[in-house]
Amino acid sequence: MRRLLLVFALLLCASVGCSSTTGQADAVRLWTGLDAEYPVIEKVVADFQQRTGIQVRMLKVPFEQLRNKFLIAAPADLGPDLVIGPQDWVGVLATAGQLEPIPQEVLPGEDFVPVSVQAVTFQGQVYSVPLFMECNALFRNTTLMPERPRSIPDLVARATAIQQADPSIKGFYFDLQEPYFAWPFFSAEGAWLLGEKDGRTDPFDVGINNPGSVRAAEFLRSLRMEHHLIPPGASENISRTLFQEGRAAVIINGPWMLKDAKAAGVPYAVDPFPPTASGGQPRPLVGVQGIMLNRRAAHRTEALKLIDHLASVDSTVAISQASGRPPVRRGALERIQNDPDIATFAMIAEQGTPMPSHPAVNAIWVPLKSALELITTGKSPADVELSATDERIRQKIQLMLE
Amino acid sequence: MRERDSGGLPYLYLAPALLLLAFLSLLPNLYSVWLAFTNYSLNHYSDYSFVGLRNFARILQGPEAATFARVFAWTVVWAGASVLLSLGLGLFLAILLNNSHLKGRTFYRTIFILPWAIPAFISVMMWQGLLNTEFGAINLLLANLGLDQALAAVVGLFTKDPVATPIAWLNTPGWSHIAVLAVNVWLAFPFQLTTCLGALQSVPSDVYEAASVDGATAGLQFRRITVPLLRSALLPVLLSSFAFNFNQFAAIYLLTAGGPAVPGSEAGATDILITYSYKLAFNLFQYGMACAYAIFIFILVATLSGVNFKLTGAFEDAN
Repeated sequence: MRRLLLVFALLLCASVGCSSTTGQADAVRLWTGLDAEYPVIEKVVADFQQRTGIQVRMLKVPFEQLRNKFLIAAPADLGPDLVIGPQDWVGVLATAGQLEPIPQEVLPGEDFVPVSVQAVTFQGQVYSVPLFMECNALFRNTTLMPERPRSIPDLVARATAIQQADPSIKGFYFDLQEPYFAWPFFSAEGAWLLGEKDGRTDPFDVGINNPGSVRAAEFLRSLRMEHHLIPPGASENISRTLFQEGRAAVIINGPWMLKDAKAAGVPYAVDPFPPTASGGQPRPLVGVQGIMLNRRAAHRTEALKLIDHLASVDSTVAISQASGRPPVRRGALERIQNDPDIATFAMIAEQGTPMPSHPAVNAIWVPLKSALELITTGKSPADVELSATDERIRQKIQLMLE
Repeated sequence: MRERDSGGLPYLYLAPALLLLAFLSLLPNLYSVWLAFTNYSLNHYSDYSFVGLRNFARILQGPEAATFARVFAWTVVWAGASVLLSLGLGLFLAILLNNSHLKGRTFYRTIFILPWAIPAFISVMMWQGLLNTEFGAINLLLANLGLDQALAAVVGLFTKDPVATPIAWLNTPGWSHIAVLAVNVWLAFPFQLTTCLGALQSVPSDVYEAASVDGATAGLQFRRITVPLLRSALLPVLLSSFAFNFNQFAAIYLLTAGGPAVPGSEAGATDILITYSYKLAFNLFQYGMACAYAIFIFILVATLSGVNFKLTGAFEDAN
């Protein structure tokens, strides 16, 4: 009996030991956290398998877990050959040494819009082949505000008038404490997140403490304290709900909202940001999702073929139509012009601020968010708070980079 | 015969459990202790090395050492108040539910267990909506009952500034402390309720009968019979809930993300040590430093629990 148990235990150990190697089946492995786009990508991949005879194994991972899962799995040779993710993973995964720069054969060419390639470039090298991009725009309820505002002050004046006429309606509503939604106004006044030196990101050149950024922060405070447009507690979720219920005239949101906006049946238009009071052009942050190549990819040659297929004009048009996020290749952009919303988002993105791929940008979001909260609730003057925040961010970046 | 047979067999039976324990608990913990003494971070992802006590020195001497003290004080208040309030509510309801004259006991029990059955992540998000300043059900209810002005006026007597209505539950210091505590008590009381009910049911009813015959009032029975008999069952539970609440990441992070912001500091008003260290270290891929924080928090919890053990003599009866 005892011997039998021992044999059983040994068998168990052996099978546990083996199972890790059976994971390396002879197929290209692809991990993605995309949700709305997943069925289309599945179709595109099936098409690829049929055409080339190369086996592909896809795994859908919850988006917020995917980056760390890859970061742990890849060094242990358990990672996929390819992973689809946004540009801010590029700097993190490349710094950790887990990505191979995109090889010459599939390098994004001239027909990719520059902002998309800029966003996935890290330390002078391209680490991702862009599939689509996303950024914020103004969603306007065309019943409540029939005309497109000429400028930001014009927008504020109309929004205030709408709200005064009917207090149950929000004139202009967004989460102004969240740097992602506040950034268009900072960029319009000349602020920057991380500067550049010799074509590379300079992580110590943080541009949130200057006269422009103070102006932007004061403008945001005026939306809350003077015009009473955005009370504390505003969130992206609430802005969406208000808009879909027809209780907000203008909100700031991204292409992920298009589907719900259409379904809600509220007459709307997607507008680019008009210039601010100082004449500056708001340039929202542009996120770019693309395919990255594992440095230890087991099926590199086949993986490159799959990149080529996924990033093709046909595939990216299909992916765009599924999600509302604009594609990045000229040929694909021409083919989505019949959808005015996607076309508008594409136009805004092309003039947007590429979201930095450098990991140092992670040191900016939390402190900047606190600063925006303190400034827009009148607890701290803009210049004092931004200067202190700038100092704190630099210390953090110093810590990160040593 | 029994003696001879037992040889190594018990160990073999224990082996799977011990192996699992070693791989799932012991090794990861030892590994994180080791990492706390290294510079393991994004920039040293595969080439990290031993740096001695540097991570610990940074926590204690960092530019935000003063913040650390403030956050630590609130963490102790948070964990202590969470345990006491949820126990108080749990015990109160348990005594009511333990009364055999109560009709529909099963129904009430089910209702009260519900907060426990819903995943905390979901209920915390739900509370975030309920507590929203402008659209939240709580403020709408208070306003409709005309209670918001009254509440603000009463609280305003004790504060320097007049209290604004509607109340910004999650966005003002003070209110946000009350809000996170209330939500955490709501999350935690079903556990205390169940424990108390179980312990109460083990108290033989003839003890109470004898006390009644002797003319003891309900209050006296509670103090002299219920509390002493529950003590040995509840103290270990209390200490472990204290440790659990000390590291109750989800309730804070999902409800306020540590906010509202405090001028001149990285930590928000409701940040506890674990959420604060997440912002400082893990968010920035400083894994070594994050491990050092974890060890620090472990030492703090262990010390506080040790003091508690001594003061309350928690396991005396068991020994």
